[in-house]
Amino acid sequence: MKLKLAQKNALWGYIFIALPLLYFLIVFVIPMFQAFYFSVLKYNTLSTNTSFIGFENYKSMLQDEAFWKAVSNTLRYAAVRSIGVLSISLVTALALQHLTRGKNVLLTLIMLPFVTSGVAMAWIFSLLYSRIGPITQILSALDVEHPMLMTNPQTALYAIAAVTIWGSIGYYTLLFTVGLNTIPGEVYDAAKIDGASSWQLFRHITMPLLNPTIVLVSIVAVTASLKNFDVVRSMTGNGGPINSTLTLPLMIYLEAFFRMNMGRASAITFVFFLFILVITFIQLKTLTREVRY
Amino acid sequence: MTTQVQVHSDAAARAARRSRTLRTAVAGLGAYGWVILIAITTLLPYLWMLSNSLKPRAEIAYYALLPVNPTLDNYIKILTKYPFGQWYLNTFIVTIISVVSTLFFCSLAGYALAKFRFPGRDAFFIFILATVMVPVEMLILPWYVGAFNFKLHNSYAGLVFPGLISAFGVFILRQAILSIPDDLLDAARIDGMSEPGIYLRIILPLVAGPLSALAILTALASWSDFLWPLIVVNIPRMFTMQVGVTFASQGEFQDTMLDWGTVMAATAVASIPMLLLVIFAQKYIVRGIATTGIKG
Repeated sequence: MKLKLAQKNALWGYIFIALPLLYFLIVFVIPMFQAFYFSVLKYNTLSTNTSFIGFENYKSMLQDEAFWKAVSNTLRYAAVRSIGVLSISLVTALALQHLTRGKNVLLTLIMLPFVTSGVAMAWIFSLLYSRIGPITQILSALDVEHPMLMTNPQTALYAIAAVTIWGSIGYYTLLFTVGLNTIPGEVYDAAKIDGASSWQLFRHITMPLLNPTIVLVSIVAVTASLKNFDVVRSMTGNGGPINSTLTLPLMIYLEAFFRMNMGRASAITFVFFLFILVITFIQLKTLTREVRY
Repeated sequence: MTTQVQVHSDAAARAARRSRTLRTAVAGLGAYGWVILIAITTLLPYLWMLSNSLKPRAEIAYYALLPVNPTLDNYIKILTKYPFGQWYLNTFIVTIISVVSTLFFCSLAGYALAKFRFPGRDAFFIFILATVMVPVEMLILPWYVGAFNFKLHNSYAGLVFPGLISAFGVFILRQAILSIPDDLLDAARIDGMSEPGIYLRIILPLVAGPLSALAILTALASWSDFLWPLIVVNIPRMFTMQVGVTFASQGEFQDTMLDWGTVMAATAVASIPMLLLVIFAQKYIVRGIATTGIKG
């Protein structure tokens, strides 16, 4: 029997998509359901005694002070880090547009942290923030009361945010630069002929036309901040001092692999997932502006 | 501040032009100042790392930028005490497998989703895209249990399986392949080229740009990945670089005080090759981000 052309086309489509589809099913979708299943179990990886306990893990999680501390830390960290890195990167991208000579060299320097792992950043800044580090030395020379930022519960979380801001300025600057380059030059020329000031150009042309980029980049930045694990883990170990740097991803890791409580860890991951979805949705709703030329 | 410049006479126009030239010059100066400030801020921590890795132990406490008696002792110590060569090799193997597999399967899936008509196609596409939202933190728990059940822990298979195909890569390649004209493929079919032949000899060369971008981003992601390797391997021989550096640094506590010279040497060994890479491959990395937008 000879297959019709359309049938043959469909058959090849299925052949090509089969393995990737199976992969996403096995590695992403089934584990997601498994994680939910874990979350309704009393499940300790050290004991063989696993039993169904309904929503007990969720209940005990919501009553845990450390959980609410982690929620608040995660949100504050994400807010400070995202606003910090987005504003610095936007200014840097705008400044780069004005450069003529030396642009590539400077961009290369700013891009260096892009290929530096979070672990390496964490160790470098652990030294900078340590008793013998230059940041501590400068702060104590300025008579700051607690010059060691990482041992003070008031400042540790923000000190970590500073590290990840430092580490991603290059990347976000590049994303903004890509967005700025899509704005047609004629729009600026026309506005300049009409006598618009630089601030007016920025306020009424750059910002509205950059809006799609801003929405995308903020969602990327906020999601990445919510999920940060490597820097927090490497700089603080267990989220200290006194849980002041405990974030949700770190709490999930500690719960699952130190307290061996898979059930509770899974319950936290679901709340974490919900968080990311809700925050992304709010960002889409509040940031998106309609662009009219 | 006046915002509207009314051009009444030549003199006013000239004055306006002069003030604009002045303002442009000031803006240019400010722009240089800002970017240079950011570049120096970026560079200083690396210099601090490098200088401390070259300081003998007695000098660490003095916070001079340059070592007085530079020495390679810290490097010799770290390289003889820990298997950095093995960790580089492990990371390299994991990266190569992830990149090759990601490029192959993402382009294959992207091709199927862009150029074939079959029931369920759009649903499959949305299904694959939706997996981007699921946080890795949720998946690692079942992955960990599964890796143990299938005896994949402490193996390359265990290290690589979460990164064999990326939904993001499928999306990028589907978009790229959509822009290839159907006529080109039909012409090849009429000439009797087989479907796998069309994929290999027409599709792949035409999406070389997006493929190389995806390769760079996948390699970077797999190089700096920390959470999963930290969990799935627990014998030093199988560590990747990030886990290895963590292990080595934590091993350098002496009298409850970190030996910063050795820790910085370890950090330098783990990060300098990539820093050299960005200096030589900056153009490609920039282009990669420009075409695809997002890191790994």
